[in-house]
Amino acid sequence: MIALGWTSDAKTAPEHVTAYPYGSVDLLCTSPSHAGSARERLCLQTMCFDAGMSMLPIAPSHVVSRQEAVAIMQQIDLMAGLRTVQNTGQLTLSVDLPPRRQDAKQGGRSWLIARQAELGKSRQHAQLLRNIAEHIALPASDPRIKNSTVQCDILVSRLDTAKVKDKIAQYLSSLADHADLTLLITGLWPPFSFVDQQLREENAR
Amino acid sequence: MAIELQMASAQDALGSRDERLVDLVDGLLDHGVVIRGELWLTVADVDLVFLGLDLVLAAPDKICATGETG
Repeated sequence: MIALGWTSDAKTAPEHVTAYPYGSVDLLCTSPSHAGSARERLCLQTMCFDAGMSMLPIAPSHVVSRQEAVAIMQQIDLMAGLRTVQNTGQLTLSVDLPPRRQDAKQGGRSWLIARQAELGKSRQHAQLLRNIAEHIALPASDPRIKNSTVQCDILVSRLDTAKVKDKIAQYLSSLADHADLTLLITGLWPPFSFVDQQLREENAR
Repeated sequence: MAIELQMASAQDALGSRDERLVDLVDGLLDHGVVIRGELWLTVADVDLVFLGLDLVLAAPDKICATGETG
């Protein structure tokens, strides 16, 4: 069996997922035939999350067996981690960088100038995402550059999701100097980027 | 001109072939609980032996090469 994550409030597990109770924590598992790829594991985790479970999800790109996940439960206080993500999920915010110009005749100097401009743009977009996170005053991941986008994740209470989206929309409408920019908000997702939220909160104290 | 805002649910993103959403979903795959270090499991009556499990709740981008979490 492949482990997908842990939950403290196992609801009816979706198809192909089994919840194994270990005290107050349930381990969510599936068979290898349904979790052959990282995307399949992500789909199953999202189905568990959409079923209303609060989750500490395993990174979909990592294959963790049921035995390994049980061993982890014996070593780590997962309840503390689960408490910090109780009834929460993440919204992933993403801003595209301008497409890179492919010019065969581009010389070294112009290439450097173009790269510098690109870097400036990505910093600007990262700052925009930081400003949004600051404005809505919720835990957020550091912005990351992924392919041609800048992304960051925000930890949101399930009940407040619509309110947070409205607040972001209002904030964006108050900005007037970001022409030709599109912000994409996806989610709610399981709180993948906040599995260490408990450690962060302890460090902040 | 204000910033344009687009929204997509997790299910929309998972089912989409739009390059932007595909990239976004791919970006999520490395996040979550990871096991760093080695984990040895033994069969028979020998106890399990673990290394590095103290890092298990750190997101990958928070784990430095030294093994410290930031």
